[in-house]
Amino acid sequence: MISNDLIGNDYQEKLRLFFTKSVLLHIGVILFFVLSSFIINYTIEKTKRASLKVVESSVRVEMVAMPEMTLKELKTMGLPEIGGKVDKALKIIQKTPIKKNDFLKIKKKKNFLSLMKDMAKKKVNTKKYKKIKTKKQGSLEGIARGDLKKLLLQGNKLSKGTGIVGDGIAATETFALYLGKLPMIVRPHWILPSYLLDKDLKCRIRIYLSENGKLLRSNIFETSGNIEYDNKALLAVKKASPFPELAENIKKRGIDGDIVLGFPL
Amino acid sequence: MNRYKVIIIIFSIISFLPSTSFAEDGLTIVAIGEAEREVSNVFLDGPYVSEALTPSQLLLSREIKRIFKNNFSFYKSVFKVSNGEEKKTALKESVKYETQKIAGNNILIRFQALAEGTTDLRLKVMSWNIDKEEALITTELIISKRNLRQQVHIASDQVYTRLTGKESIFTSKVYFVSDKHSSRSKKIKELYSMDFDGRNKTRLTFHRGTVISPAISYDKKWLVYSLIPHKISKYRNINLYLYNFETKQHKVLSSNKGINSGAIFTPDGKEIILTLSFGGNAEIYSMDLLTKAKRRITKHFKEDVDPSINRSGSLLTFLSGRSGSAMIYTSDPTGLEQKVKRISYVGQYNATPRFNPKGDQIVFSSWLDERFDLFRINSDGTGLSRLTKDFGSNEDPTFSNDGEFIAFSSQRVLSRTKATHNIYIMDKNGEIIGNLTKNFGNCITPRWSK
Repeated sequence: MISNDLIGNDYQEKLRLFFTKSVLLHIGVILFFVLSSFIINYTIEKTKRASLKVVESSVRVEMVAMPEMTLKELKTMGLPEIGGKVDKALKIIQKTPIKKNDFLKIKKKKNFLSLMKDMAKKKVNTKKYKKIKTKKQGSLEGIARGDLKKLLLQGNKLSKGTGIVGDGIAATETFALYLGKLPMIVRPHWILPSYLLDKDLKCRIRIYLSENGKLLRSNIFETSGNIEYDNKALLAVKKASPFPELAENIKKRGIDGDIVLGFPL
Repeated sequence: MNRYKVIIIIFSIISFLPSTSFAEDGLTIVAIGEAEREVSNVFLDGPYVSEALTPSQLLLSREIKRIFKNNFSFYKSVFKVSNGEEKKTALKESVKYETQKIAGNNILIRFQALAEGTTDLRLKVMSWNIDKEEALITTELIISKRNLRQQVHIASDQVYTRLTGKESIFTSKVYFVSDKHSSRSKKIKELYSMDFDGRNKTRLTFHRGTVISPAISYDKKWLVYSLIPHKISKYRNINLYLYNFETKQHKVLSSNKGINSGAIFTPDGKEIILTLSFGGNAEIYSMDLLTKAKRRITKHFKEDVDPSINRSGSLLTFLSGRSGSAMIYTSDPTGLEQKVKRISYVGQYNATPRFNPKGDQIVFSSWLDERFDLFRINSDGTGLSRLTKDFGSNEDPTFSNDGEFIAFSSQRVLSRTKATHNIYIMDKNGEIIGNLTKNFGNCITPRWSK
């Protein structure tokens, strides 16, 4: 009995020691990785901040003549949306049923002589052509083209720019194109009372976007030093949400919060 | 040990994977641009009047409110003013912020008019910022028929300054030239002053000649102008005059041979910068007001005229024909032909460049489609924008003391032989507010007090 007890106590002691060592080792390993992960993330974040890229809205304007349009006219003039017309066209295409015989007819071979004969027989519907032509001129697309043409001819009369590159280098990356859309989306909500407007304040808001462009989180990246100003910028971001959907190859950057919005710069 | 190796590898993957994936891309800042100005709703509550007011005092109290409303309405891009009713009760000195917020008011101004003798009023003005839930300012003034406008302008300015932290235009004046006192046989153009709202017009000169290019000193004590005398004389010359607002005395300041005109005060008030042509060609000089010592600023065989200086005195803008047509240039006024830079490259004929108080923008007129129109450009030559169009021929722009408004003269052709000139005011972005002169002869060359 005594020897058994001694064996038992020794075994329990060893087990306790092993268990303690094991727990401490696990905690140590977890701590090591958590800490190293934190340090690495912190270093990456620091590198990210160090390699900040500033994207400014800009439009290259060649001054060829005195502006024809006033500031007031430019403010009230919005380019007509061409998107609506495209949707309509798509609907028309979808509505048109595809007949099975259409493909069969095309397959049917004709000799050159009969083809010419058929063409000569065919009447040209001039009325229909005229009708289509007038319709096109009066369409939204027609107006938009006209306005754009006017703008190009009017020299330095472009309004707020939505271009994304300030130094003249063409931005072709999807992410850069996506960023170029943001000022236009946030600016309508970026409103300040006059007592804040004239104080030359500046703040930056970091945004985290979901795959479909929904605002997940926004925080102050650089404060202006004025709480009211910072809050107005945060409010503008919240009001502007949802943002456009992120393309597959840039979804990660939206979620990771790689976008910082500068108010005003 | 193998187990530990596996654990270490797994942890390594878990902790390094997410971080390495975004390490390749940095943060990108997207500039949103300047904010739009929020329009604040101003509610004018009152006047709270006592039963003891005489009918004339009651009219005076209503006039006070009308002037207040008119003043704030000038800043229509900042304030939307609405009126409350006249109340025959005591002034409420406390505010229920929640009620005001529900009513959509951002700023609340309350008036109380109490009798002061039989003709005058003791006016108490209280104002609150509803959004911030704070009282702004409480002012008490004695108002009579004679000082009514002046006192209400002062009270309006106090509320505005407390609210925005900036000076207002309410106590500023506009100086201009008019031919109102011309006769059929003799056309004369004299100098006048008026309040920012076009009221209280006062004649300042009685030369019976043609006054041109007035300018006011920054301390509002002095005024310079040039005179083309009408008397036929061998020594007929365009001389420069100095007017003292306190003594109301005029004296000749510069009478060099030829042109002595287009003078402006330097911000320190010690010098004037003007166009002189005694050397045969119009050039820009600075002149010490005490010693009358001259220092040349421009030197070119083409004419340099129409100087304007920024508030810090570091940058001068002027008109020069050195490029072949009249274009706008900037230079450092401390030296001769120092840092001369052309900033306008378009326009057939540009004229009267004038700095805004901040000194970062210049407004000028340009001949386009057989008439003058107003344009604005940054002082570095960027951001050219048009301000007026289809609004007659617009010339002689001048920025208001706070830089929010521009006064200018506008010509309307009435018939083949008749045209009328009046002074108009618009905000800095070209939104026309209205005319300051009407049926007061032809009014030209407005200059806003600094």
